[in-house]
Amino acid sequence: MKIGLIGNPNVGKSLIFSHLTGIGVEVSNYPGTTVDIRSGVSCINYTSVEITDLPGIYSLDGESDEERLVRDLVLTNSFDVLVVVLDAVHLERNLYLLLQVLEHHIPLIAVLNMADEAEKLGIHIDTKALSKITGVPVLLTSATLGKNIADIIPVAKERATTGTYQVAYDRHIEAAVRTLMRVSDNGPTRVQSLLALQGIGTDATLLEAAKTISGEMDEEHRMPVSSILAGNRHHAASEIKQRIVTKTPGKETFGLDNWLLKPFPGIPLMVGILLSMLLAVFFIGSFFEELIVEAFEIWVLAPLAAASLDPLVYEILFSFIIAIQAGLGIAFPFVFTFYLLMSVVEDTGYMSRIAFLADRIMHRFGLHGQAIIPMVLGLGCNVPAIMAIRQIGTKRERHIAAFLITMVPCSARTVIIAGIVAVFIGLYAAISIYLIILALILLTGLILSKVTPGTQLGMVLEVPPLRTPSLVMVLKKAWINIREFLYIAMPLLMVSSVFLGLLGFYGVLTVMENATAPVVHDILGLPPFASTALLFGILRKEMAFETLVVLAGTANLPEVMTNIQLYIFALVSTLFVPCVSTIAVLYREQGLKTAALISLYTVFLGFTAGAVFHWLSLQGLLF
Amino acid sequence: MVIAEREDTLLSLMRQAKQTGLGGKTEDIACHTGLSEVRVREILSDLEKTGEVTHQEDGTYHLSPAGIQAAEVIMRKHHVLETFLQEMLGMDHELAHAQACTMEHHATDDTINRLRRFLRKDRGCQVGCPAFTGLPGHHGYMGHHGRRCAFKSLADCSNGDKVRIDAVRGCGRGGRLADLGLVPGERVTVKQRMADTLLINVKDCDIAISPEIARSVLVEVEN
Repeated sequence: MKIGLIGNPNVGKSLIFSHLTGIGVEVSNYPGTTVDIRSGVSCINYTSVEITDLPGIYSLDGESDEERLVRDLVLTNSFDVLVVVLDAVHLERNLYLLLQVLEHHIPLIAVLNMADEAEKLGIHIDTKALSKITGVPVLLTSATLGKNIADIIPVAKERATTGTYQVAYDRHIEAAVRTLMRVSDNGPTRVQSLLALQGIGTDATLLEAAKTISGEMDEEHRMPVSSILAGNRHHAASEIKQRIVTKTPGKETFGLDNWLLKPFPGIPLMVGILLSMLLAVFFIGSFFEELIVEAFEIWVLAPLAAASLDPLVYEILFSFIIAIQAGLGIAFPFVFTFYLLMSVVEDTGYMSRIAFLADRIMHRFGLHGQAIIPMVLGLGCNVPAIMAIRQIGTKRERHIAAFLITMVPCSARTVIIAGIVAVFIGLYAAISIYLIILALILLTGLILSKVTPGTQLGMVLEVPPLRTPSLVMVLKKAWINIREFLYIAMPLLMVSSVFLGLLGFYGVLTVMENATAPVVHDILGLPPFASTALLFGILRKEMAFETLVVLAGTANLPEVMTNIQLYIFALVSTLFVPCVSTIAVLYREQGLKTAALISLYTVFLGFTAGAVFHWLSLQGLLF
Repeated sequence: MVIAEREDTLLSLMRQAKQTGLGGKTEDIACHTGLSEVRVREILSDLEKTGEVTHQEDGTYHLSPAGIQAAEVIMRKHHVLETFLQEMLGMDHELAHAQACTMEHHATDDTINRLRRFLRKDRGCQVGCPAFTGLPGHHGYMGHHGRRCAFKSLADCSNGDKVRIDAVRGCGRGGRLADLGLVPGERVTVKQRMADTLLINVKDCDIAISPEIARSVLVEVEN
């Protein structure tokens, strides 16, 4: 038996899901989308039930990736029962989706979550009346307290029904639906006709007929059919709400939002929170990385060197272990810390507040507030950040965002900055690199917003109430994210590391060094082996650092390079060319042209910045 | 209806004079105005008494200077009303014309003057609202003219304003707006304004919207 959890974003669906399934959750990525769908299995009375947590959506008629995916799944009858999760506090808006799901005639139950919050606010909901109106079982639950959660599956299995309620649409719409249900041979259902009126469906004759009718209605009502439908549904939802909800004055909650959303102190607070997040990742990350790297040195690498193996076998094993060392050294200390903090920021609902506060400044760069979310994500890893661009509107906005995100210093680049600059030169020098990158990002954004053709669509983003995140959910979310990171990054890292080792073994590296050395030496003032390190930084950013250490033959870099050389090396490798995975995802999401353009631009940027610093140091203007 | 019939007769004569330079015959006027010839004759003799129309020997009627002035006042009213209906309310040209034809007789001078000021003010603000013409996916079903800022849009609201949505223009995010409850007739509270970005409350939910989107939501202030 398959059960789908469907509901608006921020209604506590994921928490219900994790209550129902426990561990053993599978994240699947549907082909052609970036939408993650989580599913898990639960055993009730000796039968297994497959539960799927669908992405949060506002409507089944919408155009976003999530909405389209959920609609397709619902239309193809992928679930035996749907559990519609509604937010009891914002019931009216949530009823809109319930009414839409009811149209699909799939057995369902309604779960009114956040009952505890509603009670606190003095909202009383007559679930019996709602059940009577809609014809489906209604449960009042509280996922945070775990109240009534255990009833969901039994009720879904035994009492789910298709419901009896039908929204009374505008008479023109009803007439059009009646016409359409007759027009096509294979007898479209009511819901198929309604969708066809909005241009959604696969039946060509039906769509053709619907197009003519909806065109006429559009003329007559002076608004598109989808708006008429939305209006009617909202009206129906509002009527139902009036019949079932009674409100007594409840406890007024202290409005933390009064602080967070005002320009002052909201903006300083936001900057503070983001900065402290970065610093936390930086310090916690460097601390644990050192531990992990050292542990590897002592327990694995030293015995390996002492084992006196065949040189080729040694080289391969060594590269392999180095890769695991680097991967773990980054993944857990830096990326995991970042995702942990990120999950807290997301689950409290602060992320959308950041988007609101940043909207204005992002408009300067031809973007809007929502684009700040992938940019912040990019601080962890650029790859998921670029996949998240899809959600932000027009081609122009995606183009600009892709450029800026690839410049955002991800955890791997943090490793370079922390490992080279902060350790050997000093904290201020490390911060100055961040500032240079920030300035370049701002500058790039300003220029791109002037030269990129296309139109701009703004942001429409729900700002959910602030909530205390649950520790379990935060850990789970961070774990799922890091797991994905490991799946993508680790194999690539191992392959490229062994590849690098073999190249070194057969002397190809020396040839490459000799070819690129003049450029690197004359323009950037770096020693020849730095060029190889830079090159391998393309595979994975932090490998630039690791390769440099390997090629320099010592972990104490100042022995072989001056401070200014280290600084230039860190700056260039942070700026120039995104890593292979980022280029690959850029190519997949934005096309070859953009991927090539961004790569070339960053190479240019990296070398220019490096050259400028080299020139300055020659003039004796630095340090 | 006496006023309407009188004014229609005057307008008909005016039109006749403009088109042909000649006076109007009873049957022509009856044809234009849709009145019976008997009725037209009655009205004309009435108008002759008040000195707005003169009766020529060849049986045609001409407007006197006073008549011309009266007819021009009505023409002006008609024009203002038609412009308002068509450009501000987005009515179809034919419909706007037909409506203006009946409304012109009842609108007082004061109403017309106010409407004219309103239209003029609106022309002035056209420059300041480039987004009204440049919005992507603007289907234009709310009228084909750039100047639609006569209505207040959400972008013009300040902290704490309580408004009711009049219309949502079809921009790219129209669907999402409608799903979130921003449909005509819905009540909205502006909770916080950050520069031009708005945080609004619809159906007890907070929603952040960018300025260009706020501009596409036309509202009416409630209190």
